[in-house]
Amino acid sequence: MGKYMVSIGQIKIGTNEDELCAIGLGSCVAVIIYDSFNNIAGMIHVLLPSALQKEASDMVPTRYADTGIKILLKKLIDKGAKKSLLRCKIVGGAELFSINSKILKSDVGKRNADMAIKILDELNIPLISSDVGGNSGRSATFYTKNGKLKIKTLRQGEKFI
Amino acid sequence: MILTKLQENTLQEIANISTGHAAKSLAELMDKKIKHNIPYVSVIQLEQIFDVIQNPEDETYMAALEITGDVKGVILMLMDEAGATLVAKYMTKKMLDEDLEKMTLEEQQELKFSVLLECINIIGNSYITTLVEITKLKIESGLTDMAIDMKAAVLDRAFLKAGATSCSELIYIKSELYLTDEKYKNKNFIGEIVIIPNFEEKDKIMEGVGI
Repeated sequence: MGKYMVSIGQIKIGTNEDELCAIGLGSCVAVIIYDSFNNIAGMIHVLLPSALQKEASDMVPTRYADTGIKILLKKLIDKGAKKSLLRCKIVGGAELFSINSKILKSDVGKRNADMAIKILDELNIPLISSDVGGNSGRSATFYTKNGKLKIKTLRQGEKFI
Repeated sequence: MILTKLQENTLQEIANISTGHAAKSLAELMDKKIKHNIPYVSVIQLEQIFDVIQNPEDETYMAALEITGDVKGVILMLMDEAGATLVAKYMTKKMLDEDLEKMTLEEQQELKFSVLLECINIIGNSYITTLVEITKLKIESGLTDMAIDMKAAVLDRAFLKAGATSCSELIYIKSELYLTDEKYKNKNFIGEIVIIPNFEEKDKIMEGVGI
């Protein structure tokens, strides 16, 4: 059994008893795609919704929802997951409390979550559950063996989705 | 791409002098002695931030000041609950533990935020002044921002502000501040100053100091 930390812009694949963790998700979004029948799961931790405005040369595709989720899907298929059995869960996309939030309205968290949902829909992967939005950071741990996602929210405790 | 030893030492020394000035201004305001450690300099990729952040899930107060001009980036002041309480107590001077206890959680948080805002303005601007003196570059302070959340979550936000998405690497400079008493017997950690300059502009800083 392994416990893998998924940092910003990373993709990690787990099998059997593995756990996949994303710590301190603020406006970032973690997307988990899993195949419970074959016990394979993958997690990606994206920073921004889209890479469209960036130059291609220094772009890291796994930092963006639109490009990263497709790479995650390919990796899972390569590892032996069946496309028709894949399900997904997403977490994150909060707008952190800030004194400037009234002046500098940033909606990057919402845009991240919206983009992830849109891409997953395009890829025909059913979204089983999600915990997005709000004003608090979250930590997420996905258990590959049973497909459960544990979410720890600051000052609000833990829950499973 | 990594920093050469000379570049690393140069950045460390600039950070050391600037932190010294910043700590001095803060100490005057709090009427206390403040010590800082030798800054830690490293080049990291966003993908490796957990290697340099300790306790990423801890509740953290973050105040940020944007740097604009020849060098872009952010200066951050990060404090935990205990550090923010200590600073709030000494900066407002007359504030006693009992007074703090009488306040609601929201009022306490509001007080800490306004104290932190003051802190980042003092620390940030004293940092920038020193940077300008050393490098002779045109550097100005920009907008301030504040947030309270898990350490990793507030840092995500800071990395975005520092333009993390436009370059693959970041320079991460960290100095820790300690409140000490007259005889330097007690050391209380109050927080850390983190500077994240845009990596692509490190050459401008080097040129500025004549390297």
